[in-house]
Amino acid sequence: MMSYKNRLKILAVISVIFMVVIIVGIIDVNKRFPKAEYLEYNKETPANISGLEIMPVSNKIYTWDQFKTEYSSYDHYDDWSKSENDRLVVFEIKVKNTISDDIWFKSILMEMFDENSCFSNGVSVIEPNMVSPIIAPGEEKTLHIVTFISAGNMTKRQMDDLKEEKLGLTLSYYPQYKVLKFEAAQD
Amino acid sequence: MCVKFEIKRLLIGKNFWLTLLTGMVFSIAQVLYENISYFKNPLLGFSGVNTHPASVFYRWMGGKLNVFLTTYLYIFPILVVSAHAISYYKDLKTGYIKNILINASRKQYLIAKYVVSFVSGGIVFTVPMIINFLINAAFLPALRPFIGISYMKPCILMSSLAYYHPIIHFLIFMIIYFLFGGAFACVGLVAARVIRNEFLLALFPCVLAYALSFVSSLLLKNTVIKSISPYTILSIVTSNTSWVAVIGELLCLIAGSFLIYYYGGKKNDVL
Repeated sequence: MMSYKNRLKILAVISVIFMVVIIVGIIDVNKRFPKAEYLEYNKETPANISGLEIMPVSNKIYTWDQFKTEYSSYDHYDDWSKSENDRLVVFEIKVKNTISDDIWFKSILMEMFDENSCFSNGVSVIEPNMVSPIIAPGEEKTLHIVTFISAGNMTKRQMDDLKEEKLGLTLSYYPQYKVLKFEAAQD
Repeated sequence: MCVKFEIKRLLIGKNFWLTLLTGMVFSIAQVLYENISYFKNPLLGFSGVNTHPASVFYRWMGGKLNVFLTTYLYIFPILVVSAHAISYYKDLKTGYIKNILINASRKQYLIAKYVVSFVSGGIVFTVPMIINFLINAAFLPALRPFIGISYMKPCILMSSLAYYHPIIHFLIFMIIYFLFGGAFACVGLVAARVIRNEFLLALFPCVLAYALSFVSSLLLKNTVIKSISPYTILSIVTSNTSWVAVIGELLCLIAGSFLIYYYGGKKNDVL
């Protein structure tokens, strides 16, 4: 039968070997995959993704009623169960095709985020025509894209703290974390 | 002196190591079942657009709701009480307590038993989680969760901290785990006075955890307390609860169990 002290010694040796292996592993894997480079785009410095220049213009937070008044033809949310505390955010962006081929603007590749609460959600195009448009070479278009913020996912305080300047769109996560930063829309 | 004796009993006995090993089975199984392919290639499933490489913060056992975590949470009350607290029942049943009380005061014995049961429960519950995190961290990059991916709902406890300071978030949760492990182990000490069956005694903290979950879902769902269910509190990424619930529950369990156990134990005449 192994003595109590020997057991502790063996445990200590195993722990030290384990920790050395772990530390070597942590250093190695984080050298191979360093943290993402943060790139922020705004009105002055638009993003350019595969030849499509994307300029963040403005954004605005709406209640259900305000949204329906402004975008009456957009019926995607009509059947949804709604809470009066829910919010919708409409982002206005300008896109320009800077290459010689058509580019299909895919809103599905963007995600909305709130810096305060870290809430995120997908976006979809409202204007023009509620479809992701194809941008011809040299063409410039203004797009309105919308996202939905459910009050059920947030605390009341987080909903109260929603601010336009904290709401943005991500274009990619890694190896570069690209985000579009907006200014609040003028009424 | 008595604490040293209890620690020695803990480390020499099989229960502590067996319960720790049981936790480690879950910890290692999660790594083998869910993450081995990502260890070989953390870029698995990464297309460059709207995706991200695997990160230790999403992929460790507490980084998402998975069968290993949920099962571990359901059995943790049994593990923590079996680690050492159950030895109090055995001391009473076999009369071994009489031998101990020849060399130590009743107060010393009761406090030592409580402290060592608490710490052993905390260790047994927390160490497998920490080992799991460390193994994952050795093979997966520590990429901070990107704001913009649906990792955690904003209403979850400390969700912003998980995005901005994931290591601190992990450490705070490990402290919560330790305290819950200790608290449920000490609940077993209280039950040892009433329940005269080892098997039922090991199950008692489990029944208490179920009862708390039942009461919580019945009465507290839409209140500011949100949830006192230990399973919800300890589920990390879906921990839809409040600090009032976490601190209140810990205080009630720790203080309540100590008072009942200590004053009950002092009154009880074993010699």
